[in-house]
Amino acid sequence: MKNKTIALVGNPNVGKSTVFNALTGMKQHTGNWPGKTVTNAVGHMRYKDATFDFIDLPGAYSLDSSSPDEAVTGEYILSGQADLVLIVADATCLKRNLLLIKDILKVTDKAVLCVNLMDEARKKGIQLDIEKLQKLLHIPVIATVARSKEGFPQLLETLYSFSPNESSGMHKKDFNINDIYRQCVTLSKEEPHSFDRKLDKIVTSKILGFPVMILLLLMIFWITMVGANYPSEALSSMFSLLDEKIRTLLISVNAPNVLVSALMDGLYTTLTWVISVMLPPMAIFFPLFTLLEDFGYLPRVAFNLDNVFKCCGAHGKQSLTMCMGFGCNACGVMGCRIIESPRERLIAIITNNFVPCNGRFPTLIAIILIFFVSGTASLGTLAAGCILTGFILIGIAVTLIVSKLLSKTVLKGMPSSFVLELPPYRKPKIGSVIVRSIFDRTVFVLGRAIVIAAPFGVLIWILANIKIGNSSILNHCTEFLDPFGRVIGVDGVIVMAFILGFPANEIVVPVMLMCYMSTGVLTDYSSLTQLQDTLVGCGWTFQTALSVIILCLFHFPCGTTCLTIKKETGSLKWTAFAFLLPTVIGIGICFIINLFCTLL
Amino acid sequence: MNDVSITLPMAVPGKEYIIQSIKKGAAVADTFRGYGIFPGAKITLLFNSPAKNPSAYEVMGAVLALRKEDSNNIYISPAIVK
Repeated sequence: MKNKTIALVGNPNVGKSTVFNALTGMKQHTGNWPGKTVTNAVGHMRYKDATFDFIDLPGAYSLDSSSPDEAVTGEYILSGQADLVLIVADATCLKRNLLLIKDILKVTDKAVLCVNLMDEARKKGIQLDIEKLQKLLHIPVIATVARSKEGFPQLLETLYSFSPNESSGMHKKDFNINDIYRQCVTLSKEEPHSFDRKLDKIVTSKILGFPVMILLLLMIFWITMVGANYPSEALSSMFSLLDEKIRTLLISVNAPNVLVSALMDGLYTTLTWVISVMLPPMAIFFPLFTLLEDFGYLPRVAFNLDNVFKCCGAHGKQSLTMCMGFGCNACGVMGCRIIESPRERLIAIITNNFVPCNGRFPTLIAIILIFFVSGTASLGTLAAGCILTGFILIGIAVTLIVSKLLSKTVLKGMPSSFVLELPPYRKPKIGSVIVRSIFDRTVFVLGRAIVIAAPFGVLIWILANIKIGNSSILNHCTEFLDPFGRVIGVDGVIVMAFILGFPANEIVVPVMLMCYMSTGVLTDYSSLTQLQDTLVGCGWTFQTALSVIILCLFHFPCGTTCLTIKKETGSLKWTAFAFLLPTVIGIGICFIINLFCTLL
Repeated sequence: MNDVSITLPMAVPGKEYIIQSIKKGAAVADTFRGYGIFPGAKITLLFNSPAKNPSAYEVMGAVLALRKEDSNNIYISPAIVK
């Protein structure tokens, strides 16, 4: 029985995590931009009579770097904790990868080189002489395609049979990179990256750069809205059908009325709302976004936007973490580790919440569809897509303004220097991305629905049904909040819903509905029209809808995000700041809107 | 002529240059090394971002974006075409 600790090292974005996932069967998030792995993932696998413990280290360009992220990698290698270092290199960019290989071979000879992305290299007409590379480097070299596990049997066998003694022949590990490159790599095309260069010229051009960006955003939203419509309606009608069935069943087994009401009006309503209204848009948006990410478009966005971020005293990579925020703000905050300078990292962390995460999109979409567009289906959704894109752009603008204000006041300083790598475009595995991320999203949302939405549904039902004096606790709360709500153009219920939505943004709207329902207005909401009737019946106007959207964009981060901010900044003060800042901004904007509306 | 050096942002797009020196005190020189940006290495300006800053350069087969503030510290001279 052998036990081997194997560290995966390599330049950022050479497919380390893909190799790691393929080896261990784990699901580390991968994406085509440098710095995706921010934590050390550990995974195990058994091969013959051996157990391999794999450690996926964050990508590094060299071992003596100043960035904290890379320092982790350097320290780990130097500590000699690993029995074996598996260097992962990008076959399409071997020359630059050799820099790190050289660094590593200077400190250890317990190394195996895995030349990954051989399929991309073949496509680009880059031929590698693996035999020769092995001879020149004096370590085992295996060519792989991690996505299809090509070369993995040899890789595992090499890892299994590798013993440090065999290569301890005191080879001189100082080599000339240019020599090795010249001897091992032959190009069959003059410019192997011509496709990338052509595409880059388009997506970063002065004229087309920004329109392409906005169009892509718009397209994603539009597909999300159109696509989510059908499953949403199907799920809604299924759930309302089930609702009656379950009620009849519960009554027939003589369940007490209180229990029936708590289960059905509390738990069931919240749960089914989250599943039917929130899940479909999330399950469509997420894979689309992942496709763009895997293709390698995000670094180009960062490239285009860098100048704007620089003017705001922020780091160019902040646009990458901002993009991640669209998926999940907690992930975005964690991703801020790719920013080396502490000052700029803090700015990125604090402002991450200004772009709406996946859990807020469906709320925005529903409100926009109800109050902002009317008319034919496809034209309506296109208009809704434009409006949503507009609100997102407002979110981005606020991100920039706040970044600027922060860097002028509490977080004063000059923008630090950095290098942003624009990786080669890679064809995403469309089928598997879609299937995997729809599946992952569904499991994630369902999990949260069960863990957070369901208990909260019951809690709110209890609040709505325990009476103190002649009205419920919930009513007392909403009435207490109502004067405040009126000042910012909403009502007490909405304020209450946002507060109760702290554990998860998904439940804001169902909480609202439940509050309204307890006043006896709502009976059923299987379609958006019914939802509209209910909301209008409760006094919603265009201004209310606008204010809710603003509050949805700008309010305190959800519980998970707050915890992540606390973890990443290690400071309660900054967490409180990140909590208060968006809240104050949201309330401020709504107050101004209300002021205007009352004056007009 | 190898001894005539200009700063990196002055490079002509598509033309290959050799890095002559990196200004002392540039805090980033350490970081640059791992990217393949060090004296003696080849570098080519590929394209600019919409605001002309940052710009993308090809170094050792990879595309790297540098801000003018940083690339101004890098001195280059034209590579001799064989």
